[in-house]
Amino acid sequence: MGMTLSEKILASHSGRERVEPGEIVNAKVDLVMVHEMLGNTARLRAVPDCA
Amino acid sequence: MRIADIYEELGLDRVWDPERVVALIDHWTPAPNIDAAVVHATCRRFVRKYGIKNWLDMREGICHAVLPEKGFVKPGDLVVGSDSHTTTYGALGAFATGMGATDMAIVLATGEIWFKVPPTIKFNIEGKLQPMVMGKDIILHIIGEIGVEGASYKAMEFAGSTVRELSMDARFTLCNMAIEAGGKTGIIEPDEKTMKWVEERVKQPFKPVFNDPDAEYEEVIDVDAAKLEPQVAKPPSPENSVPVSEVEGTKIDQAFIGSCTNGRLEDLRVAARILDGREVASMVRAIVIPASKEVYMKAMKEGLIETFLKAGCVVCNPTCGPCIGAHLGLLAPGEVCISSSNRNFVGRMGSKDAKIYLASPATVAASAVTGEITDPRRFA
Repeated sequence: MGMTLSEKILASHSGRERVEPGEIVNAKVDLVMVHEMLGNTARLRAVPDCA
Repeated sequence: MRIADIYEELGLDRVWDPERVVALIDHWTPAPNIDAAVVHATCRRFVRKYGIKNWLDMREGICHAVLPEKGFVKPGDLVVGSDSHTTTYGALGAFATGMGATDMAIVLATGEIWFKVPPTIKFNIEGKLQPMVMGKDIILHIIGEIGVEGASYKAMEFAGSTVRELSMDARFTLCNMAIEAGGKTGIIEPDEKTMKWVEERVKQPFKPVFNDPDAEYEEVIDVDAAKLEPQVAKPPSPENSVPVSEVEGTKIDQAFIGSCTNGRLEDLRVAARILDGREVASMVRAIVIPASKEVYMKAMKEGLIETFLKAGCVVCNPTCGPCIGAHLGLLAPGEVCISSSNRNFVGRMGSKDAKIYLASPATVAASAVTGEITDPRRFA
């Protein structure tokens, strides 16, 4: 059986020929995006959530 | 705990690849209070310390509009972001998903992360949409059908003749709200529209990825788009979507057009067409927030901003703002808002005793004019 587009992307980024739903893979990402979640809040009382 | 806190706690001391990280602030910009200002200051400190190359601060707008516009996302990419609506980038044929601070700290330090491979549900969407029916109405309808857990940890693939006809702006809306059905990602196979979009924006080489002809889906769900009415999700869940006719006449206090879901140019054009030469009902506040600087500037050039201002809307700088109840339009107890955003949970936009109805920018604009929830086809 062939793979869906999503499965093919996960396969190619984890160095595999193919993947099956439910399998655990370790993947290398192309890009990381971070917003306000990057900062520090440990010392703050209350800050609005990022979602 | 945010990413920088976890870096300190785990003793992480590097960023995997400072060129492949995009950092910005968009949720509460410019800072509406001291705590937000402190978070922003600590973001800038982290960016300086690790030499992150693509630091956009608050200049560009909401991440999910900005990253595709600036060509950071390519078809076939694997992208992770610190925001649940990172699924938006799937409209470019990328696998994109959001993660919490702990996972984000690890992926930021190593460039790697584990995934459980999700099964794919294909939504086969066929038929020509009626005038004033938008991508938002399709996704609200789908979430209403399958529920907020209907696609938990599944890839939601949107396909069919309707999707091929949709603009890129509308495709971003579909993938954006995949997370509201629990989807691990929302994704659309690239076509000539995708290629046109990325060729104008992406500078690096890429190789688009397509479904195998014999790809195996966990489920295929057919959606008849031709019959679709404008949809409205009643409070307090996106799964409470009903045809607009069922809630028409509900009085509103505030109308919000914006967010990573529906603050793009097509959204503002549709809203402006309805508001042109009309006026926002006297007891209604209408807030328009273009999702990015690019959208804002194009909207200015096209005269849309002037149309909004003349109609009595307030236009704010690109930010998430009221969608997350951060600033620029919180709700008082007992108030009702119709919003083009993605979540209508209790307390999302201010008071826990306020009510939020989700709808397309067309339905929001039509409702702003009449002061009650209104079918935008009346203005077609």
